[in-house]
Amino acid sequence: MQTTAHKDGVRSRASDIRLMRRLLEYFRPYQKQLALSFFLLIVISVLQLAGPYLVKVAIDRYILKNDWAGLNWIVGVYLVVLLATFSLQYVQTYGMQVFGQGIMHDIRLSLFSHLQKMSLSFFNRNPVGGIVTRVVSDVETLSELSTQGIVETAGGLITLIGIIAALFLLNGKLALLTLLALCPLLYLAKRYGDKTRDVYGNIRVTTAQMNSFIQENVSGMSTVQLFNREEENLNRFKRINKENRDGQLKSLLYSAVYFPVVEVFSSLALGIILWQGGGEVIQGAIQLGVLVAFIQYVQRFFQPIRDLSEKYNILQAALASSERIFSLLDTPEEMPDPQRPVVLPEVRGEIAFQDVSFSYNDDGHALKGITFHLEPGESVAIVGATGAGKTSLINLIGRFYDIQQGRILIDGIDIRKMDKRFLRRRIGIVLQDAFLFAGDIEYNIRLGEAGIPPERVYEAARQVNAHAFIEKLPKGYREEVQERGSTLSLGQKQLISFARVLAFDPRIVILDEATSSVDTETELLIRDAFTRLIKGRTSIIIAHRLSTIRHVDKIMVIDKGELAEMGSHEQLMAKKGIYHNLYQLQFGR
Amino acid sequence: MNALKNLFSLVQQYRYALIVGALSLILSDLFGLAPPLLIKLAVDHVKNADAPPPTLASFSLQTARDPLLTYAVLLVAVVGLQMVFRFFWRKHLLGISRRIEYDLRNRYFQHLQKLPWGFFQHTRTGDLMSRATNDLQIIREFLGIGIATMVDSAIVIPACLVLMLAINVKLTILSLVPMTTAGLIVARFKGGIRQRAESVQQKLSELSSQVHENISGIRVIQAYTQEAHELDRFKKLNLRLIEKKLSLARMSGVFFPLMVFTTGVTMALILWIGGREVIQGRITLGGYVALNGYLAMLTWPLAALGFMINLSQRGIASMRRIDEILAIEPEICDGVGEERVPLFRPETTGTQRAFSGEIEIRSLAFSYDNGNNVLFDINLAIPAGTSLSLVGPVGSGKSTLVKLIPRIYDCASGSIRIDGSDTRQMPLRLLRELIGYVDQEPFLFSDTIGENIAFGAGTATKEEIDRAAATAGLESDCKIFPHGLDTLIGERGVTLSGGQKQRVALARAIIKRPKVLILDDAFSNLDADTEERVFTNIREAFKDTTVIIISHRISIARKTDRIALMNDGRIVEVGTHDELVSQSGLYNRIYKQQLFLEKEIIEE
Repeated sequence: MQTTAHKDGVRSRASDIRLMRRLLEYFRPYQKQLALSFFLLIVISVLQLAGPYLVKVAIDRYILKNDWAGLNWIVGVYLVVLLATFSLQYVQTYGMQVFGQGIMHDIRLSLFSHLQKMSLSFFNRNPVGGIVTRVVSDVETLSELSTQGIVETAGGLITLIGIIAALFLLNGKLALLTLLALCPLLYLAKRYGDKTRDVYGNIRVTTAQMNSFIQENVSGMSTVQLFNREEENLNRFKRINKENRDGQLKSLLYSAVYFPVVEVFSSLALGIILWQGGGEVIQGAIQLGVLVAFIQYVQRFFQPIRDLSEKYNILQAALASSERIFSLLDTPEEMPDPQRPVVLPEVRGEIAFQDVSFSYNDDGHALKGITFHLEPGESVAIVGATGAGKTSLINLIGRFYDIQQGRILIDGIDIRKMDKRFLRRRIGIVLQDAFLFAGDIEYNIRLGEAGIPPERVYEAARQVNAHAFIEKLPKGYREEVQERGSTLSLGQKQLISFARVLAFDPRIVILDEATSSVDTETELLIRDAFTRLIKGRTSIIIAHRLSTIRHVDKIMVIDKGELAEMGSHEQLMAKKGIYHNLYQLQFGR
Repeated sequence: MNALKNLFSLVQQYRYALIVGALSLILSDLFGLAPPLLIKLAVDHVKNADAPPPTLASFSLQTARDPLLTYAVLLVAVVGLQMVFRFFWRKHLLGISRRIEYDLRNRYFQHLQKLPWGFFQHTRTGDLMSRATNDLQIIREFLGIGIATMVDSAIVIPACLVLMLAINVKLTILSLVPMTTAGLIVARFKGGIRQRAESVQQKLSELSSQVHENISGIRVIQAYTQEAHELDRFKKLNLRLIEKKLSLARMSGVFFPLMVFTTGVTMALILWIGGREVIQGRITLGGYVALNGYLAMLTWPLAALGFMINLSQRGIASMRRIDEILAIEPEICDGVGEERVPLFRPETTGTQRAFSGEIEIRSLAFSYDNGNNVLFDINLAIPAGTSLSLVGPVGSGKSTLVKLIPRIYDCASGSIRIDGSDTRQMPLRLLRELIGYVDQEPFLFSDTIGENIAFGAGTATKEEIDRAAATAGLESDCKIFPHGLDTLIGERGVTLSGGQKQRVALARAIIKRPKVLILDDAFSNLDADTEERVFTNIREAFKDTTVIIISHRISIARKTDRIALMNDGRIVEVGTHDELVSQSGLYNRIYKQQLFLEKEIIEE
């Protein structure tokens, strides 16, 4: 499973920076909250640093001088500082959550709404599982960065700078010595970053693989079971899972080495201070309190360094996620709406194809030089062998794909000059496999269209002969349809999608006739519904039924992507061409 | 706390790593106790040496600096040792969490494989996915840091306390007051956190499900311009998720600041009381500094404890969601009855060759979970190697009946026997090996067409695949596919038409040469001519196979040996085509209808 979705390994530093910049754009609406959060963080850092200083003051000024009142006073100050730290920390933490969730909301929404605009060829290329991961998990990872990473990283840096400043204020020479121990650490941090970056890239790839594997197996579980493939598939799953685990263990090993080494350096710095600083106290060069404060600062010095390294992983994960999110957002809308779309007051339903050629990709034409014309209200059946291009042709009318050559006109206007939503609103489409959404039957007829009153839903169902069986369901129109919707038969699902068309009452109907066979009774219902469906509407039907062919005005024969014959049944039969052959083959007996 | 118990049973497997890790942690913690002590000694030394300020002349390495250097070197050495052990505990203890995640994920996947069709019918894919990803991740986080923190706290807290007691009893007891208070506060939050975490995970599941459904149905959504409405639904779901997350944050956000506050208060208390003690000379300054050091060491385990409670509640919430699935008993599993049919029949070597494929259905009844009876008193015998069509109106129970044979569902009463053995007494593996079942809406994997055909026959050769494809009438289609049988299907390859999918599924079923072939409306997307051609192919290639076919076309029904007509969950007529037509019953009526439908056109 190596799709574009999983192409995610190691990135360059330059692209890291580019990604960061783009992420920051999402932060912009929250500038104020961010600024406030930063401010709070600085205050908190300063307050936290005040601790050791207050202890120093307490020792040098009061304890050593037996000043009880002074000690009371300083403890009081300390308590106030603590209380302030507590409340500010809570406010800051919660504020960051609000901020992070806000960003997440924004990104998710822009992803989701972008997806709604993508063309079918995009969805043909990208697996559902991968897209779901993008919208759910990747955004989740990113939110972790914005809530924990960004500000805390900044906070860590501020603390670090604060400590360094405090060290220099206390004693320049000792401060320099401490920093000396820091230099090799910088090199180590870089090495560690490089190593983990690779491993994490690998972990992410295998995680994505695992997810699509689970997704596919859940969807096709009964097939797996009926073919006794449980063991084989489990083994395959275990392989990917193991690869993922080994990556995790490797990253663990790196951190198990790195973080202790940081500690050793920390103790080295401490040792130097004890040795050198202690000596200076004895010599009277510095006060004892300074030494004690120094020790405490140095102990805190390495905490932010540790945190920053830890955050580096979150940062890497978040950058990988944002890279995938942005690549999705950057996938151009292949068929943008025109700047100034033509708006027709009313559509009559005249359809014209003028020398239309179309291919899905560069190799080979799906359709070549198609030209035909349909008057409003006219109906046409498309017949032809499998793979002749029938489905491609009907997909073009709703502009699910764009053609490479020629024009498609509705009421004399190129559909590319119309708003896609406007166009599609005028077309009712019934797909070969009737897709139903989780929700009740009424929802599945009306979809999200609040403007369609229940009466119209029932009326539409009645018109297509669906009312009777819907009424028989335990909850009638309120009966829930499930994801793999087995409560309804295929024929029933078809009738529901017919009802959907009638409820939306479009001028043009496009129908990819579903099954070639349902039971006779439903077949009769469908036929009957069909005539009502196309009545007064311009209709294009991929026909599998004889009755359909007999009820339409014209028949169009598509052969190898070209319009081979067009005319009435009698005309075409008389011609004794492809249609005649097809008819004999499929329907003659 | 079942979820927790299950988690610990998983941990048990890694006892060795746990022991090694725990020992390393203890050692690492023990070495960790030394640095504050060394610092105390050094500071005390400095303070005492303070009295006669050494002149430059009297200053030598031996007198003043040597002890300090010793302390410094010791400090680095001790920390170095501590870190060696820290490496080991991190490697082992945290490694356990990764391994358990791996085990748990395998178990989850394996369990899903055992669940019956019915389960997947009413469970959304997005939900199952969310459990496998988000929930397992939370469990891993909990276990990794959780185990380490628990072991750590169990060692560091008492050890620090003992050492602090050794320095000063009064101060130590004082320092415990704020910490215990904080601990009690934290304990009260536990349930709330778990609840809130659970609803966050649930909302996340819902979100996954919606995205999943939206993408699956994007064609309908775009065709009916429902994008805005879908976006609106998504927005609402998203807002609800955020609401739940923030409600969790409001509670869990208290922990960290609270712990920092508590340790701060403790420090202040020690400073205040301890300062007096120092002033009164009851404790040395070095002792005070050391006490502070131990207190600082307590900060982490205690803060971690708060963090842990947070994490553990979320971990338990997620573990529950995994357990929810693991706890579902697979309804359909291998028989346990006395007359259990062995997987291998002793008299023959091939597993399924001993079976002839004779089917007998005895007074069978079936109802779905909602209690609606679907099948009543079905009795039917199908001799080995013969073919039977099931015909009848929609909802008459044909498809349900055939689904009972490979045990996609189990019948409520009565039995289905193959060669005289009750299917429920047969090992599932054997039963399903005997049967080839082709669905109306088959599921194909995003693999090559050839791989899909060979799906159930691990060792199929190229020739066998070609032959199966030919029998299924795929030959001419394969010529159109860019790479023939090696063409990828689905999201990354070609999109097959309904009829092509059905034929690939047929090839997949016949390549394993089943004794019983069930075609559950499997040709509905083929035209009548192709259907007949394929059916004839099958009969010729598999003369010994018992074939059960559901079709709406009389043209196919009349080609089978016998026809069973179903209506309202019962078999109402059985016989050959000619027999049934002459009976002038329901079959006769359907036959006439179809003839009429065809004539209507031809005679016009």
